[in-house]
Amino acid sequence: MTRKRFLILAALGCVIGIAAALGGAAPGVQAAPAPQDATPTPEPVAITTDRQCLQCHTAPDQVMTLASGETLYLTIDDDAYEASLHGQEDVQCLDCHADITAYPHSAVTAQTLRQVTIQKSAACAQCHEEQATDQHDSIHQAELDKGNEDAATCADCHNPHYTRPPSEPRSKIAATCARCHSGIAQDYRDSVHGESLINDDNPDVPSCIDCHGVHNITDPRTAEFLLNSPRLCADCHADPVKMRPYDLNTDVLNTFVADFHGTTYVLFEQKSPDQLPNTPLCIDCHGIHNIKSVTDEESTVIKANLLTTCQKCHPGATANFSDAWLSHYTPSPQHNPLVFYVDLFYTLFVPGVLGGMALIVVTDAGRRIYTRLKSLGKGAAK
Amino acid sequence: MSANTTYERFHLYQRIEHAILIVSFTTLAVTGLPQKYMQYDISRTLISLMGGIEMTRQIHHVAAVVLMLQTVYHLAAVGYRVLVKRVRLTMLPGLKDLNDALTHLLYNIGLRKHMPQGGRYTYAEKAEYWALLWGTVVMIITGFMMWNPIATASLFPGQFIPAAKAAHGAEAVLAVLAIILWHFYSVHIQRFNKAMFTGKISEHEMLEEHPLELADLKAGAALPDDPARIKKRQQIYYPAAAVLSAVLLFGVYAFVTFEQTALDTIERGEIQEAFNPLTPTPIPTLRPTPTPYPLEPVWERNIGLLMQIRCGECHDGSTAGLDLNTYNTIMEGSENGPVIIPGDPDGSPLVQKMLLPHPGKLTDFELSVLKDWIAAGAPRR
Repeated sequence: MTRKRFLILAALGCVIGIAAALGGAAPGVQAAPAPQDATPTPEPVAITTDRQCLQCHTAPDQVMTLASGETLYLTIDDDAYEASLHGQEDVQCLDCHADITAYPHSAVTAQTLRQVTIQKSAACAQCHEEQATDQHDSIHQAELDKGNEDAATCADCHNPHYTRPPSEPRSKIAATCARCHSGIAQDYRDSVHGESLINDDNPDVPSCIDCHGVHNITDPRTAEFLLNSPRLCADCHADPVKMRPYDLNTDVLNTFVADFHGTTYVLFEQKSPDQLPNTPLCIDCHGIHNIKSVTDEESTVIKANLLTTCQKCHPGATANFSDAWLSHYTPSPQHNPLVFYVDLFYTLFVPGVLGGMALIVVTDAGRRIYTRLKSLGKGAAK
Repeated sequence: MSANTTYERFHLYQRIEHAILIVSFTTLAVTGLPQKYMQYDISRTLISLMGGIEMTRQIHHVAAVVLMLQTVYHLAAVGYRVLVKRVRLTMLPGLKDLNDALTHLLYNIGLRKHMPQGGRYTYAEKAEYWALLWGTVVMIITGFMMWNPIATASLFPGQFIPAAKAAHGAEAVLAVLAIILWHFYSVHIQRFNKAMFTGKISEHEMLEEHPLELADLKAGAALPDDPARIKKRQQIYYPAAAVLSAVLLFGVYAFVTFEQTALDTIERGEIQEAFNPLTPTPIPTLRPTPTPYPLEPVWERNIGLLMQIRCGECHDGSTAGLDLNTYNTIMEGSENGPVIIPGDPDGSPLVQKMLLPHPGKLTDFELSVLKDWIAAGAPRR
């Protein structure tokens, strides 16, 4: 049978199936054959081609009930499959479902839907080795290894039968993560980054994976991740090209590092890369997933809200306290004039004092050397 | 007097004070400047060697406390010498010192015949002493502001704190460079002056550097005061100095313990529960299907396609001699005989087979369509 012919047949099969599903002629759900209940036991039939699989699995309402009582849906939409990335690449059912070698199938060992997803995801590594290796280093895999079956594996994010390019459109990424991380995703959607991505499909703003990575998502609660977070922010916010359309200050990292907090962060990290310093990083003032624009009245760092933000760590802080932070400005007569003029005073005062001293020291040394040479000369003349 | 005559220049207590100052000043510089210049590798290496930034700051704070205690002692000691022993105020600067500095410069470049004549403290020594005192006061005030920013901001604008930081750092640079340039040159390079370690100075050195002091001494200016009067002054000074020192020491204590600026531990990072799944749990689900149309019970385009899709893959003549792909072959049946008995769906082996375990399965609807077709006599079209 040619492939084309098969496709036509499959399509027609679907039509029939569809007709069946809503035709009402026989609406009952037909459970997948359960060999152990079968009498008499049929002769196993070797399954070697996709077409064999699809003879049953394109039928609608192909379901089985797992030990947990959950329903596992076994119907494949062949059209949609053919249109998917896997379908386009001619990936065959048995490439992934290699455990199915015959009909009746071997018994399903998964007790729950989660276990089905986790078991089946093991097959992905055959072709996607790099991604699988990355995933094995991830917090998700670490949680799975600990026995936490809620943690995501391949098929949770990538539906293997109807795979589309996973990041098109980019806003889909947040929706994918939101399936498990809905609270955080809501914060993100309300943030300056998320709003811009979802409403304007802005390619500049970060989606989840730009900060967290894709397959090798590490635990973002570790000191290592948090200590690196200012660099994540700076990747965009210290880049003049990326920030040009937004007219944002790109001196944010430099000014942070020049301040007490940032200095502490840099020096602490260098000595103790596995511990968190008792000093704020970008996220501690600006927020994480819920970062607002500094033009937003909910922003944690605008003047009206800054003291409250300071008080997270400095509970005794009073009204003037937040002005001690230079707001990422380099001191100038307009911004932080007192600091600017103190700097200016010392810029003049230090060389002035040292210059006066140097004048006397240098001339004194010259005079002494001159006198010494002169007396030596006299001694030699005698 | 012989050439070996020496004079006491610095009392033992002063020399101890100087030694402590060397330690505290150097410690402050070594722990402080790398913080100011943290962008350089050498600074980071130094801080690392000192045990990290937090340890470096601890050491800096301890050295600062030593310097402050020493300052309290110094004030008490100077007070004693001035108020009780009534020593001459030889450290007070005056117009002569400005003039001496100018004369020194002019002498160096050959415009004066003689060096200025120094008293007990030359203009260079006075400059250094008062610079140190000024610097220490600036460092203590700005240091307090940085150590206690909340208290500072409750009295002054918040900007005082970064301004204090700027002044503290710049003043430190000035102090260290002045020590290297002025102090080291004057007492180590120009001539290695051991007076601060031995406490003594020779008559020759006196004549060279402090001729006016020597003349005063020879004129009897340094004769001790009447012991009885000293004792009387002591009785007043000691309690007064004790009270004042206690106040200052309390000040140092307050300086260190004034406020707890920041909490030691705060809740960091995302505080939302990470796992917060949407419901229903995302799993492959049955997709909605469009409205169907009725199937006519005829082979062509209907039952034939159903058979091809559901059964024809295996039953292409190779399995049980049955080929379900064409009308003729299905009607021929298998090696065991016919599979379709037109008009008798329940009696047809094909329908019976579907009620038994069999690899391929028809849905209930498909089976009912098949039975309708057989019941209708299994027509081709």
